[in-house]
Amino acid sequence: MRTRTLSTPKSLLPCALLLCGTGQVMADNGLNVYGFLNAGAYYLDENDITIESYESGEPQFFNRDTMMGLQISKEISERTSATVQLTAKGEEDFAVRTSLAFISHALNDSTDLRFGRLRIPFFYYSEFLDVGYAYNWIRPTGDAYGIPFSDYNGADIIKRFSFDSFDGQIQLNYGRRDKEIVLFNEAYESELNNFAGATLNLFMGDFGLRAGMQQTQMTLDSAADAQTLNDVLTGAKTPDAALYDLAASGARRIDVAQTAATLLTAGKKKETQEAFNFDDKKARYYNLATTWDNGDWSFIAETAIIRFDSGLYVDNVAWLASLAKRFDALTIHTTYSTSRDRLDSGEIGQVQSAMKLRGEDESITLGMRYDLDEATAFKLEASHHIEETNQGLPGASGTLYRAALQLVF
Amino acid sequence: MKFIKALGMTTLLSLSTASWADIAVIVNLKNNNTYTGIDADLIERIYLGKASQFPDGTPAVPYDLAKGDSVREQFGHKILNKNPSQLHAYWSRSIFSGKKQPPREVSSAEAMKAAVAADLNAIGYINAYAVDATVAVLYTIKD
Repeated sequence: MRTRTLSTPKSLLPCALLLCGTGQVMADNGLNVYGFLNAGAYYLDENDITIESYESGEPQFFNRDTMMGLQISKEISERTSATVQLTAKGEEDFAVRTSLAFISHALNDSTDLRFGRLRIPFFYYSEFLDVGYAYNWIRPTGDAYGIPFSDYNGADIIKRFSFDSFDGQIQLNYGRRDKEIVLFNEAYESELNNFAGATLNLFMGDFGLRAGMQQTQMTLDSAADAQTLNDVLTGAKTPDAALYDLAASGARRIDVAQTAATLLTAGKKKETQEAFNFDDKKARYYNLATTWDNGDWSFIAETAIIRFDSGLYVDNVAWLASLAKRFDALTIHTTYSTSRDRLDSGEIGQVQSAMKLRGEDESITLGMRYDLDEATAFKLEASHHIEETNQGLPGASGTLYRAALQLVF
Repeated sequence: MKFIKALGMTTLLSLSTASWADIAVIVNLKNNNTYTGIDADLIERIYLGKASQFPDGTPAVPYDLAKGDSVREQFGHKILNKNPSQLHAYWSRSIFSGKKQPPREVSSAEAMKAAVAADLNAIGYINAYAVDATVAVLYTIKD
Protein backbone atom coordinates (compact mmCIF):
# COMPACT_ATOMS: atom_id res chain seq x y z
CA MET A 1 0.00 0.00 0.00
CA ARG A 2 2.84 2.38 0.76
CA THR A 3 5.12 1.44 -2.11
CA ARG A 4 2.52 2.00 -4.80
CA THR A 5 1.82 5.51 -3.64
CA LEU A 6 5.46 6.53 -3.77
CA SER A 7 5.91 6.03 -7.50
CA THR A 8 2.54 6.95 -8.99
CA PRO A 9 2.36 10.63 -8.09
CA LYS A 10 5.66 11.33 -9.81
CA SER A 11 4.02 10.64 -13.13
CA LEU A 12 0.78 12.38 -12.29
CA LEU A 13 2.04 15.57 -10.73
CA PRO A 14 3.71 17.00 -13.84
CA CYS A 15 0.45 16.40 -15.72
CA ALA A 16 -1.41 18.27 -13.03
CA LEU A 17 1.02 21.15 -13.10
CA LEU A 18 0.81 21.26 -16.86
CA LEU A 19 -2.96 21.51 -16.62
CA CYS A 20 -2.58 24.16 -13.96
CA GLY A 21 -0.32 26.17 -16.19
CA THR A 22 -2.98 26.41 -18.82
CA GLY A 23 -5.36 28.07 -16.37
CA GLN A 24 -9.10 27.95 -16.58
CA VAL A 25 -10.36 27.34 -20.06
CA MET A 26 -13.48 29.36 -20.68
CA ALA A 27 -14.40 29.32 -24.29
CA ASP A 28 -17.15 31.28 -25.94
CA ASN A 29 -18.97 28.06 -26.66
CA GLY A 30 -19.89 27.72 -22.98
CA LEU A 31 -17.28 25.09 -22.14
CA ASN A 32 -15.70 25.44 -18.69
CA VAL A 33 -12.81 23.33 -17.48
CA TYR A 34 -11.83 23.46 -13.81
CA GLY A 35 -9.66 21.29 -11.65
CA PHE A 36 -8.09 20.87 -8.26
CA LEU A 37 -5.03 19.15 -6.86
CA ASN A 38 -4.05 18.21 -3.32
CA ALA A 39 -0.57 16.82 -2.61
CA GLY A 40 -0.04 15.85 1.01
CA ALA A 41 2.40 14.31 3.45
CA TYR A 42 1.91 13.26 7.06
CA TYR A 43 3.49 11.75 10.12
CA LEU A 44 1.56 10.16 12.98
CA ASP A 45 3.61 9.81 16.16
CA GLU A 46 1.63 7.16 18.04
CA ASN A 47 1.11 3.49 17.18
CA ASP A 48 -1.87 2.87 19.40
CA ILE A 49 -4.33 5.29 17.91
CA THR A 50 -6.27 5.32 14.69
CA ILE A 51 -7.17 8.58 12.98
CA GLU A 52 -9.16 7.67 9.90
CA SER A 53 -6.64 5.82 7.68
CA TYR A 54 -3.49 7.61 8.83
CA GLU A 55 -0.80 5.11 9.76
CA SER A 56 1.95 5.62 12.31
CA GLY A 57 5.59 4.87 11.56
CA GLU A 58 7.59 6.50 8.79
CA PRO A 59 6.41 9.81 7.28
CA GLN A 60 4.08 9.16 4.36
CA PHE A 61 4.06 11.10 1.11
CA PHE A 62 1.35 11.39 -1.52
CA ASN A 63 -1.18 8.81 -0.40
CA ARG A 64 -3.57 10.30 2.15
CA ASP A 65 -4.60 13.90 1.36
CA THR A 66 -3.42 13.49 -2.22
CA MET A 67 -5.85 13.66 -5.08
CA MET A 68 -6.71 15.29 -8.36
CA GLY A 69 -10.02 16.39 -9.76
CA LEU A 70 -10.99 17.55 -13.20
CA GLN A 71 -14.38 19.11 -13.91
CA ILE A 72 -15.86 19.93 -17.27
CA SER A 73 -19.17 21.68 -17.78
CA LYS A 74 -20.81 22.59 -21.04
CA GLU A 75 -23.74 24.88 -21.63
CA ILE A 76 -26.19 22.99 -23.79
CA SER A 77 -28.65 25.84 -24.02
CA GLU A 78 -29.24 29.12 -22.21
CA ARG A 79 -30.85 27.28 -19.30
CA THR A 80 -29.30 23.81 -19.48
CA SER A 81 -25.79 22.55 -18.86
CA ALA A 82 -23.97 19.26 -18.35
CA THR A 83 -21.17 18.72 -15.81
CA VAL A 84 -18.75 15.85 -15.22
CA GLN A 85 -16.18 15.71 -12.40
CA LEU A 86 -13.53 12.98 -12.33
CA THR A 87 -11.38 12.39 -9.27
CA ALA A 88 -8.36 10.18 -8.49
CA LYS A 89 -7.16 9.65 -4.92
CA GLY A 90 -3.71 8.57 -3.78
CA GLU A 91 -5.14 6.22 -1.19
CA GLU A 92 -7.09 4.45 -3.98
CA ASP A 93 -4.01 4.11 -6.21
CA PHE A 94 -5.33 7.01 -8.31
CA ALA A 95 -8.21 4.96 -9.69
CA VAL A 96 -10.41 7.43 -11.57
CA ARG A 97 -13.92 7.83 -10.21
CA THR A 98 -16.85 9.84 -11.47
CA SER A 99 -17.75 12.11 -8.55
CA LEU A 100 -20.27 14.26 -10.41
CA ALA A 101 -22.14 13.64 -13.68
CA PHE A 102 -25.31 15.62 -14.01
CA ILE A 103 -27.54 17.77 -16.16
CA SER A 104 -28.58 21.08 -14.65
CA HIS A 105 -31.64 22.94 -15.85
CA ALA A 106 -32.63 26.40 -14.64
CA LEU A 107 -36.41 26.34 -14.21
CA ASN A 108 -36.22 30.11 -13.71
CA ASP A 109 -33.68 32.66 -12.53
CA SER A 110 -33.75 31.38 -8.95
CA THR A 111 -34.48 27.66 -9.30
CA ASP A 112 -32.18 24.93 -10.60
CA LEU A 113 -33.04 21.29 -11.17
CA ARG A 114 -30.14 18.84 -11.35
CA PHE A 115 -30.23 15.13 -12.08
CA GLY A 116 -27.56 12.50 -12.45
CA ARG A 117 -24.70 11.71 -10.06
CA LEU A 118 -24.47 14.27 -7.28
CA ARG A 119 -22.71 14.63 -3.96
CA ILE A 120 -24.72 14.06 -0.81
CA PRO A 121 -25.05 17.36 1.05
CA PHE A 122 -24.57 15.79 4.50
CA PHE A 123 -22.78 18.61 6.27
CA TYR A 124 -21.36 22.09 5.61
CA TYR A 125 -18.22 20.98 3.70
CA SER A 126 -19.58 17.73 2.22
CA GLU A 127 -20.25 18.90 -1.33
CA PHE A 128 -16.70 20.26 -1.79
CA LEU A 129 -14.92 18.03 0.73
CA ASP A 130 -12.17 17.04 -1.71
CA VAL A 131 -11.26 20.60 -2.68
CA GLY A 132 -8.66 21.49 -0.09
CA TYR A 133 -8.06 24.94 -1.54
CA ALA A 134 -11.64 25.88 -0.67
CA TYR A 135 -11.06 25.88 3.09
CA ASN A 136 -8.30 26.47 5.65
CA TRP A 137 -7.65 22.91 6.86
CA ILE A 138 -5.83 20.29 4.85
CA ARG A 139 -9.02 18.30 5.30
CA PRO A 140 -12.05 18.78 7.57
CA THR A 141 -11.86 16.70 10.73
CA GLY A 142 -12.78 13.03 10.47
CA ASP A 143 -14.66 13.43 13.74
CA ALA A 144 -17.50 14.89 11.70
CA TYR A 145 -16.56 14.06 8.11
CA GLY A 146 -15.59 10.39 8.34
CA ILE A 147 -18.58 9.18 6.30
CA PRO A 148 -17.36 6.43 3.94
CA PHE A 149 -19.45 7.43 0.91
CA SER A 150 -20.18 10.75 -0.71
CA ASP A 151 -22.25 10.41 -3.90
CA TYR A 152 -25.67 9.23 -5.01
CA ASN A 153 -27.63 8.99 -8.23
CA GLY A 154 -30.77 11.05 -8.23
CA ALA A 155 -32.00 14.59 -8.47
CA ASP A 156 -32.13 17.76 -6.47
CA ILE A 157 -33.83 21.08 -6.74
CA ILE A 158 -32.18 24.25 -5.49
CA LYS A 159 -34.25 27.36 -4.86
CA ARG A 160 -32.54 30.66 -4.04
CA PHE A 161 -34.46 33.45 -2.38
CA SER A 162 -33.89 36.86 -0.88
CA PHE A 163 -35.89 38.62 1.77
CA ASP A 164 -34.89 42.12 2.78
CA SER A 165 -31.21 41.77 3.73
CA PHE A 166 -31.43 37.96 4.04
CA ASP A 167 -30.48 35.58 1.26
CA GLY A 168 -31.20 31.92 1.37
CA GLN A 169 -31.12 28.66 -0.47
CA ILE A 170 -33.25 25.54 -0.08
CA GLN A 171 -32.01 22.27 -1.52
CA LEU A 172 -34.18 19.14 -1.69
CA ASN A 173 -32.59 15.92 -2.88
CA TYR A 174 -33.74 12.37 -3.58
CA GLY A 175 -32.06 9.32 -5.06
CA ARG A 176 -30.23 6.10 -4.32
CA ARG A 177 -26.76 4.65 -4.18
CA ASP A 178 -26.06 1.11 -5.31
CA LYS A 179 -22.30 0.77 -4.99
CA GLU A 180 -19.61 -0.74 -2.84
CA ILE A 181 -18.84 0.92 0.51
CA VAL A 182 -15.43 0.61 2.13
CA LEU A 183 -15.60 0.36 5.93
CA PHE A 184 -12.50 -0.27 8.04
CA ASN A 185 -10.58 -0.83 4.76
CA GLU A 186 -12.97 -3.65 3.80
CA ALA A 187 -15.44 -3.58 0.93
CA TYR A 188 -19.16 -4.26 1.31
CA GLU A 189 -21.78 -4.43 -1.39
CA SER A 190 -24.45 -1.96 -0.41
CA GLU A 191 -27.76 -0.42 -1.38
CA LEU A 192 -28.78 2.94 -0.02
CA ASN A 193 -32.37 3.36 -1.08
CA ASN A 194 -34.67 6.35 -0.71
CA PHE A 195 -31.82 8.72 -0.07
CA ALA A 196 -33.75 11.88 0.72
CA GLY A 197 -32.85 15.14 2.33
CA ALA A 198 -33.45 18.83 2.79
CA THR A 199 -30.92 21.59 3.38
CA LEU A 200 -31.49 25.23 4.24
CA ASN A 201 -28.79 27.87 3.97
CA LEU A 202 -29.32 31.42 5.22
CA PHE A 203 -26.95 34.37 4.82
CA MET A 204 -27.04 37.83 6.33
CA GLY A 205 -24.01 40.07 6.15
CA ASP A 206 -21.04 38.18 7.56
CA PHE A 207 -23.24 35.49 9.11
CA GLY A 208 -24.34 32.17 7.65
CA LEU A 209 -26.56 29.40 9.00
CA ARG A 210 -27.00 25.90 7.63
CA ALA A 211 -29.50 23.27 8.74
CA GLY A 212 -29.85 19.95 7.00
CA MET A 213 -31.13 16.43 7.30
CA GLN A 214 -30.56 13.32 5.15
CA GLN A 215 -31.94 9.83 5.53
CA THR A 216 -31.67 6.52 3.74
CA GLN A 217 -32.62 2.86 3.95
CA MET A 218 -29.26 1.08 4.23
CA THR A 219 -28.55 -2.50 3.19
CA LEU A 220 -25.08 -4.06 3.42
CA ASP A 221 -24.09 -7.58 2.39
CA SER A 222 -22.78 -8.36 5.88
CA ALA A 223 -23.83 -11.68 7.47
CA ALA A 224 -23.25 -13.77 10.55
CA ASP A 225 -20.87 -16.64 9.88
CA ALA A 226 -22.83 -19.94 9.91
CA GLN A 227 -19.82 -22.13 10.75
CA THR A 228 -18.92 -20.03 13.78
CA LEU A 229 -22.50 -20.11 15.05
CA ASN A 230 -22.59 -23.86 14.55
CA ASP A 231 -19.28 -24.33 16.42
CA VAL A 232 -20.70 -22.48 19.41
CA LEU A 233 -24.11 -24.15 19.31
CA THR A 234 -22.60 -27.63 19.18
CA GLY A 235 -20.17 -26.77 21.95
CA ALA A 236 -17.16 -27.34 19.71
CA LYS A 237 -15.80 -23.91 20.66
CA THR A 238 -16.50 -21.31 23.28
CA PRO A 239 -18.02 -18.07 21.89
CA ASP A 240 -14.82 -16.13 22.56
CA ALA A 241 -12.63 -18.73 20.86
CA ALA A 242 -14.99 -19.07 17.90
CA LEU A 243 -15.09 -15.30 17.36
CA TYR A 244 -11.33 -15.02 17.76
CA ASP A 245 -10.85 -17.72 15.13
CA LEU A 246 -13.33 -15.98 12.81
CA ALA A 247 -11.52 -12.66 13.10
CA ALA A 248 -8.14 -14.38 12.64
CA SER A 249 -9.43 -16.04 9.46
CA GLY A 250 -9.65 -12.59 7.84
CA ALA A 251 -13.41 -12.21 8.10
CA ARG A 252 -14.64 -8.66 7.60
CA ARG A 253 -15.11 -6.62 10.76
CA ILE A 254 -18.87 -6.14 10.37
CA ASP A 255 -19.37 -9.83 9.60
CA VAL A 256 -17.53 -10.63 12.84
CA ALA A 257 -19.65 -8.07 14.70
CA GLN A 258 -22.85 -9.50 13.24
CA THR A 259 -21.79 -13.02 14.27
CA ALA A 260 -21.02 -11.77 17.79
CA ALA A 261 -24.37 -9.98 17.91
CA THR A 262 -26.21 -13.13 16.82
CA LEU A 263 -24.58 -15.04 19.68
CA LEU A 264 -25.21 -12.26 22.22
CA THR A 265 -28.86 -11.79 21.25
CA ALA A 266 -29.74 -15.49 21.32
CA GLY A 267 -32.75 -15.85 23.59
CA LYS A 268 -33.47 -12.12 23.60
CA LYS A 269 -36.49 -10.36 22.12
CA LYS A 270 -37.01 -10.74 18.37
CA GLU A 271 -36.81 -6.95 18.05
CA THR A 272 -33.34 -6.98 19.63
CA GLN A 273 -32.16 -9.83 17.41
CA GLU A 274 -33.38 -8.09 14.27
CA ALA A 275 -31.67 -4.83 15.19
CA PHE A 276 -28.22 -6.30 14.58
CA ASN A 277 -28.09 -6.50 10.83
CA PHE A 278 -27.95 -4.11 7.89
CA ASP A 279 -31.08 -5.26 6.07
CA ASP A 280 -32.94 -2.14 5.00
CA LYS A 281 -32.08 -0.26 8.16
CA LYS A 282 -32.68 3.46 8.34
CA ALA A 283 -29.79 5.92 8.82
CA ARG A 284 -30.33 9.63 9.49
CA TYR A 285 -27.85 12.48 9.30
CA TYR A 286 -28.54 15.84 10.94
CA ASN A 287 -26.50 19.01 10.57
CA LEU A 288 -26.51 22.48 12.08
CA ALA A 289 -23.74 24.93 11.26
CA THR A 290 -23.18 28.60 11.85
CA THR A 291 -20.48 30.65 10.17
CA TRP A 292 -19.11 34.15 10.47
CA ASP A 293 -16.53 35.71 8.17
CA ASN A 294 -15.57 39.38 8.00
CA GLY A 295 -12.62 38.82 5.66
CA ASP A 296 -9.97 38.93 8.40
CA TRP A 297 -11.53 36.76 11.08
CA SER A 298 -13.68 33.74 10.37
CA PHE A 299 -15.45 31.23 12.58
CA ILE A 300 -17.50 28.08 12.12
CA ALA A 301 -19.30 25.91 14.64
CA GLU A 302 -20.94 22.79 13.34
CA THR A 303 -22.66 19.74 14.74
CA ALA A 304 -23.12 16.48 12.84
CA ILE A 305 -25.39 13.83 14.32
CA ILE A 306 -25.86 10.34 12.85
CA ARG A 307 -28.53 7.91 14.03
CA PHE A 308 -28.58 4.29 12.86
CA ASP A 309 -31.52 1.93 13.29
CA SER A 310 -29.06 -0.94 12.98
CA GLY A 311 -27.43 -1.82 16.29
CA LEU A 312 -24.24 -2.76 14.45
CA TYR A 313 -23.43 0.89 13.90
CA VAL A 314 -23.53 3.13 16.93
CA ASP A 315 -25.24 6.52 16.88
CA ASN A 316 -22.77 9.36 16.89
CA VAL A 317 -22.73 13.01 17.90
CA ALA A 318 -19.85 15.12 16.59
CA TRP A 319 -19.19 18.83 16.62
CA LEU A 320 -16.42 21.22 15.80
CA ALA A 321 -15.57 24.86 16.40
CA SER A 322 -12.88 26.62 14.42
CA LEU A 323 -11.46 30.15 14.48
CA ALA A 324 -9.17 31.63 11.82
CA LYS A 325 -7.34 34.93 11.49
CA ARG A 326 -5.92 36.16 8.22
CA PHE A 327 -2.70 38.20 8.02
CA ASP A 328 -2.54 39.10 4.33
CA ALA A 329 -1.46 35.86 2.57
CA LEU A 330 -1.10 33.96 5.85
CA THR A 331 -4.03 32.47 7.75
CA ILE A 332 -3.66 30.92 11.20
CA HIS A 333 -6.45 28.68 12.46
CA THR A 334 -7.32 26.54 15.44
CA THR A 335 -10.04 23.93 15.80
CA TYR A 336 -11.59 21.81 18.50
CA SER A 337 -13.57 18.77 17.42
CA THR A 338 -15.09 15.80 19.16
CA SER A 339 -16.89 12.62 18.21
CA ARG A 340 -18.95 10.68 20.73
CA ASP A 341 -20.73 7.41 20.10
CA ARG A 342 -24.07 6.96 21.81
CA LEU A 343 -25.23 3.46 22.68
CA ASP A 344 -28.92 2.68 22.32
CA SER A 345 -31.04 2.27 25.42
CA GLY A 346 -32.42 -1.03 26.72
CA GLU A 347 -31.46 -4.47 25.52
CA ILE A 348 -29.91 -3.25 22.25
CA GLY A 349 -27.62 -0.89 24.16
CA GLN A 350 -26.59 -3.70 26.50
CA VAL A 351 -25.56 -5.83 23.52
CA GLN A 352 -23.69 -2.89 21.98
CA SER A 353 -21.88 -2.37 25.26
CA ALA A 354 -20.94 -6.07 25.44
CA MET A 355 -19.66 -5.83 21.86
CA LYS A 356 -17.43 -2.89 22.84
CA LEU A 357 -18.64 -0.73 19.99
CA ARG A 358 -18.29 2.61 21.73
CA GLY A 359 -15.71 5.19 20.76
CA GLU A 360 -15.16 8.72 22.06
CA ASP A 361 -12.46 11.10 21.04
CA GLU A 362 -11.52 14.73 20.73
CA SER A 363 -8.95 16.64 18.67
CA ILE A 364 -7.28 20.00 18.87
CA THR A 365 -5.80 21.31 15.64
CA LEU A 366 -3.46 24.21 15.02
CA GLY A 367 -2.70 25.05 11.42
CA MET A 368 -1.59 27.64 8.91
CA ARG A 369 -2.48 28.34 5.33
CA TYR A 370 -0.20 30.40 3.14
CA ASP A 371 -1.55 31.56 -0.21
CA LEU A 372 1.38 31.29 -2.61
CA ASP A 373 -0.74 32.87 -5.32
CA GLU A 374 -4.38 33.37 -6.21
CA ALA A 375 -4.94 29.65 -6.76
CA THR A 376 -2.29 27.83 -4.71
CA ALA A 377 -2.07 27.33 -0.97
CA PHE A 378 0.58 25.71 1.18
CA LYS A 379 -0.67 24.34 4.48
CA LEU A 380 0.84 22.98 7.69
CA GLU A 381 -1.20 21.39 10.45
CA ALA A 382 -0.74 19.59 13.76
CA SER A 383 -3.70 17.73 15.28
CA HIS A 384 -3.49 16.34 18.78
CA HIS A 385 -5.95 13.48 18.98
CA ILE A 386 -7.17 12.09 22.29
CA GLU A 387 -8.98 8.76 22.21
CA GLU A 388 -10.93 8.72 25.45
CA THR A 389 -12.62 5.46 24.55
CA ASN A 390 -11.76 3.11 21.72
CA GLN A 391 -13.89 0.00 21.19
CA GLY A 392 -15.31 0.38 24.66
CA LEU A 393 -11.90 0.63 26.35
CA PRO A 394 -9.65 3.56 27.37
CA GLY A 395 -7.65 4.74 24.35
CA ALA A 396 -4.36 6.54 23.73
CA SER A 397 -3.42 9.95 22.37
CA GLY A 398 -1.09 11.11 19.66
CA THR A 399 -0.32 13.90 17.23
CA LEU A 400 -0.77 13.91 13.49
CA TYR A 401 1.49 16.31 11.57
CA ARG A 402 0.51 17.17 8.02
CA ALA A 403 1.72 19.32 5.15
CA ALA A 404 -0.01 19.88 1.82
CA LEU A 405 0.06 21.89 -1.34
CA GLN A 406 -3.46 22.50 -2.61
CA LEU A 407 -4.51 24.33 -5.73
CA VAL A 408 -7.40 24.93 -8.08
CA PHE A 409 -7.33 25.78 -11.74
CA MET B 1 -7.95 62.75 -33.76
CA LYS B 2 -11.44 61.51 -33.10
CA PHE B 3 -10.05 59.21 -30.41
CA ILE B 4 -8.13 62.02 -28.72
CA LYS B 5 -11.23 64.18 -28.71
CA ALA B 6 -13.32 61.43 -27.21
CA LEU B 7 -10.67 60.72 -24.63
CA GLY B 8 -10.53 64.38 -23.72
CA MET B 9 -14.27 64.59 -23.20
CA THR B 10 -14.37 61.44 -21.13
CA THR B 11 -11.56 62.66 -18.94
CA LEU B 12 -13.25 66.00 -18.44
CA LEU B 13 -16.53 64.37 -17.49
CA SER B 14 -14.82 61.93 -15.17
CA LEU B 15 -12.77 64.56 -13.41
CA SER B 16 -15.89 66.48 -12.64
CA THR B 17 -17.54 63.58 -10.83
CA ALA B 18 -14.94 61.11 -9.69
CA SER B 19 -11.33 60.75 -8.71
CA TRP B 20 -8.95 58.59 -10.73
CA ALA B 21 -9.19 55.62 -8.39
CA ASP B 22 -12.96 55.57 -7.93
CA ILE B 23 -14.83 52.55 -9.27
CA ALA B 24 -18.16 52.96 -11.02
CA VAL B 25 -20.72 50.19 -10.79
CA ILE B 26 -22.51 50.32 -14.11
CA VAL B 27 -25.72 48.99 -15.61
CA ASN B 28 -27.57 49.14 -18.91
CA LEU B 29 -29.01 52.54 -19.84
CA LYS B 30 -32.52 51.03 -19.71
CA ASN B 31 -32.09 49.70 -16.17
CA ASN B 32 -34.77 51.38 -14.02
CA ASN B 33 -32.76 50.99 -10.82
CA THR B 34 -30.71 54.04 -11.68
CA TYR B 35 -33.65 56.08 -10.29
CA THR B 36 -33.62 54.37 -6.91
CA GLY B 37 -29.96 53.38 -6.66
CA ILE B 38 -28.47 50.39 -4.93
CA ASP B 39 -26.43 49.90 -1.78
CA ALA B 40 -23.01 48.28 -1.45
CA ASP B 41 -24.48 45.37 0.50
CA LEU B 42 -26.72 44.31 -2.39
CA ILE B 43 -23.86 44.69 -4.88
CA GLU B 44 -21.80 42.35 -2.68
CA ARG B 45 -24.65 39.81 -2.47
CA ILE B 46 -25.14 39.87 -6.24
CA TYR B 47 -21.43 39.37 -6.90
CA LEU B 48 -21.19 36.51 -4.39
CA GLY B 49 -24.14 34.75 -6.01
CA LYS B 50 -26.34 35.12 -2.94
CA ALA B 51 -28.85 37.57 -4.42
CA SER B 52 -29.89 37.56 -8.06
CA GLN B 53 -32.17 40.57 -8.41
CA PHE B 54 -31.96 44.36 -8.51
CA PRO B 55 -34.06 46.30 -5.96
CA ASP B 56 -36.95 46.49 -8.47
CA GLY B 57 -37.06 42.71 -8.75
CA THR B 58 -35.52 42.42 -12.21
CA PRO B 59 -32.77 39.80 -12.67
CA ALA B 60 -29.19 40.95 -12.05
CA VAL B 61 -26.40 39.31 -14.04
CA PRO B 62 -22.94 40.28 -12.73
CA TYR B 63 -19.86 40.62 -14.92
CA ASP B 64 -16.31 40.58 -13.58
CA LEU B 65 -13.10 42.02 -14.92
CA ALA B 66 -10.37 39.47 -15.60
CA LYS B 67 -8.21 37.99 -12.83
CA GLY B 68 -5.17 40.14 -12.12
CA ASP B 69 -6.93 43.38 -13.09
CA SER B 70 -6.20 45.99 -10.39
CA VAL B 71 -9.76 47.37 -10.55
CA ARG B 72 -11.09 43.87 -9.90
CA GLU B 73 -8.82 43.56 -6.87
CA GLN B 74 -9.98 46.92 -5.51
CA PHE B 75 -13.60 45.94 -6.10
CA GLY B 76 -12.99 42.64 -4.30
CA HIS B 77 -11.35 44.40 -1.39
CA LYS B 78 -13.85 47.24 -0.98
CA ILE B 79 -17.16 45.60 -1.87
CA LEU B 80 -16.67 41.86 -1.43
CA ASN B 81 -14.31 42.15 1.55
CA LYS B 82 -12.11 39.43 0.08
CA ASN B 83 -8.64 39.26 -1.43
CA PRO B 84 -8.20 37.34 -4.70
CA SER B 85 -7.33 34.08 -2.90
CA GLN B 86 -10.33 34.31 -0.62
CA LEU B 87 -12.59 35.02 -3.57
CA HIS B 88 -11.14 32.10 -5.50
CA ALA B 89 -11.65 29.80 -2.51
CA TYR B 90 -15.22 31.09 -2.10
CA TRP B 91 -16.14 30.30 -5.71
CA SER B 92 -14.29 26.98 -5.64
CA ARG B 93 -16.85 25.77 -3.12
CA SER B 94 -19.69 26.51 -5.48
CA ILE B 95 -17.98 25.41 -8.71
CA PHE B 96 -16.89 22.01 -7.45
CA SER B 97 -20.26 21.41 -5.79
CA GLY B 98 -21.66 21.75 -9.29
CA LYS B 99 -23.70 24.78 -8.30
CA LYS B 100 -23.63 28.42 -9.27
CA GLN B 101 -20.75 29.54 -11.48
CA PRO B 102 -18.80 32.76 -10.77
CA PRO B 103 -19.65 35.90 -12.76
CA ARG B 104 -18.70 35.84 -16.42
CA GLU B 105 -15.36 37.56 -17.01
CA VAL B 106 -14.61 40.27 -19.54
CA SER B 107 -11.12 41.29 -20.52
CA SER B 108 -11.19 45.09 -20.17
CA ALA B 109 -13.23 48.16 -19.27
CA GLU B 110 -14.20 48.51 -22.94
CA ALA B 111 -15.41 44.90 -23.04
CA MET B 112 -17.28 45.49 -19.77
CA LYS B 113 -19.11 48.50 -21.20
CA ALA B 114 -19.95 46.57 -24.35
CA ALA B 115 -21.29 43.63 -22.32
CA VAL B 116 -23.37 45.89 -20.06
CA ALA B 117 -24.69 47.91 -23.01
CA ALA B 118 -25.80 44.68 -24.68
CA ASP B 119 -27.49 43.06 -21.66
CA LEU B 120 -30.52 44.65 -19.97
CA ASN B 121 -29.88 42.64 -16.79
CA ALA B 122 -26.15 43.24 -16.58
CA ILE B 123 -24.25 44.82 -13.72
CA GLY B 124 -20.53 45.54 -14.04
CA TYR B 125 -17.83 47.78 -12.69
CA ILE B 126 -15.01 49.78 -14.22
CA ASN B 127 -12.65 52.53 -13.25
CA ALA B 128 -14.78 55.65 -12.98
CA TYR B 129 -12.76 57.56 -15.58
CA ALA B 130 -13.67 54.92 -18.19
CA VAL B 131 -17.41 55.64 -17.89
CA ASP B 132 -19.03 56.95 -21.06
CA ALA B 133 -22.52 57.51 -22.42
CA THR B 134 -23.09 53.86 -23.35
CA VAL B 135 -23.71 52.81 -19.75
CA ALA B 136 -25.35 54.21 -16.61
CA VAL B 137 -23.62 54.54 -13.25
CA LEU B 138 -25.58 52.88 -10.46
CA TYR B 139 -23.12 53.32 -7.62
CA THR B 140 -19.69 54.85 -7.12
CA ILE B 141 -17.10 53.25 -4.88
CA LYS B 142 -14.97 56.09 -3.59
CA ASP B 143 -11.24 55.66 -3.35
